[in-house]
Amino acid sequence: MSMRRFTTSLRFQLREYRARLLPLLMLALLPLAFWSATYFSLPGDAEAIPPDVIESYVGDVIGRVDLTELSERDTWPFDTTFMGVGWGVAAAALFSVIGSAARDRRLVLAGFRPWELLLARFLILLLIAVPISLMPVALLAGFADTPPTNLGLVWLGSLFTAVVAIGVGLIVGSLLPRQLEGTILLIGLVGVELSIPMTLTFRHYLPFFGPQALFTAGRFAADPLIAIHVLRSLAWTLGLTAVAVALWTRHVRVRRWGAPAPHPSEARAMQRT
Amino acid sequence: MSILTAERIEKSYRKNRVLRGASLTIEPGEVVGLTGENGCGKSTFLKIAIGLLAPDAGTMRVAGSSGYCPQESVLFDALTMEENVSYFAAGYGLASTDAQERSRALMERLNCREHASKRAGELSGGTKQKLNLIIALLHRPELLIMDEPYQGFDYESYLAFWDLAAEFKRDGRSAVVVSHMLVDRERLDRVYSIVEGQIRSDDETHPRG
Repeated sequence: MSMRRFTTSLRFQLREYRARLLPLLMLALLPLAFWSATYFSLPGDAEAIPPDVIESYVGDVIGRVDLTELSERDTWPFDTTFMGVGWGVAAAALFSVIGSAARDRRLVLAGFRPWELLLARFLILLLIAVPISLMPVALLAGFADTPPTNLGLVWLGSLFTAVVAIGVGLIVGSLLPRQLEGTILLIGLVGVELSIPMTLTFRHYLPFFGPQALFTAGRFAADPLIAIHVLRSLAWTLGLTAVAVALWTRHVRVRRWGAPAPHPSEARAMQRT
Repeated sequence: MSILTAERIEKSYRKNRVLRGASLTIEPGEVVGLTGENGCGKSTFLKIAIGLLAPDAGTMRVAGSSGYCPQESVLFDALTMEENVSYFAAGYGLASTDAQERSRALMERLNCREHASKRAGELSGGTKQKLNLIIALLHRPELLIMDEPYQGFDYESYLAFWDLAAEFKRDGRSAVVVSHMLVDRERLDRVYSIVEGQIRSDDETHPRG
């Protein structure tokens, strides 16, 4: 990798993002919008949720935990912030690649490597993801009637959601040529997965399970499987990023016809000497 | 050695056979025109030559570095003209000072130096196209491939473009200019047309009485 190419790409992509602050801000506010839409429409009393619903909500990721004092306001609204983080960051990643195929291809023609461009993009998306992932933490700290047991773990879950979402967004953007189809697919992928109960076994093998488990554990109890959820989230992050790099490299690849030969004038000069 | 050798290139988009055995050879120091009706396969041929598309059959060989000026400006709208140039210069491996000098000289020649600090998104269509061309010329490629390069140029810039092409030729470099309408045929060494998916010399397609 050429450090100059990489830092140049990082610098200029950052400038491109700076020019799109308004749409980025809108995406960053998605978790807040989702939370406020549900929080203010639900009752705040602790008796509203039947125990079986609580069980399906929390799933088997939690060890010993007493949730009898939990109100509806303390459950779904904060889950929607988690979904908002996933959608917001995945959409930012999607839009960052869908509009850049032609320009990236021209940069590759000029000599950039596709993965240098994608790595710079990934780092910038990570920079965007950090403040977005703090939104659920801030809301939980400020508004939850049952205070979270471990805010750091909540943030870790939220951050992993954002990082996994970057990979999902980059992959969808590499596969689909237009924003409309990409956005619809993202809504489906992220929304459907996060709507599946945590208790279902196959849910454990989906990308957002680990981050959601960490998020839930941080809110209610110390989960004995935290290390596994962290590893699971890391594995999905690395796997999705590797697939995204492979797909983008294929998407913007340029064929080189024959080995570069010396320029004819140089060849003539070489023959003379 | 020829700078570009295309032999029996074929390319189809689903059932639409665009190129049917197109062959072309370009020698060092030649400026060649490629023309043809809309949709005849000119841009497809160029994209194969530059490496953006793979042919279904046939062989393509380019002996040396190439520059590409696409039909539609491919630029970073949020970056200034100078920043766009710096971005591509890093890819070409040009030193910053060399790239700056070269781009300033080209901007001067193409009459757009006063817009250097403007963002590409704020430029007129013609100035964007000039920047598009400057990026293709920046690294002094041995083969320059241009798809409708002077669209939107004012007359003076159009003449400056041909001066640059002549200079390019004097340096022993080669260029392909693609246009659906080539009016300046006397400035070109050879003119080819794409007819029924094949590249034919203009003498074949328009025999002179």
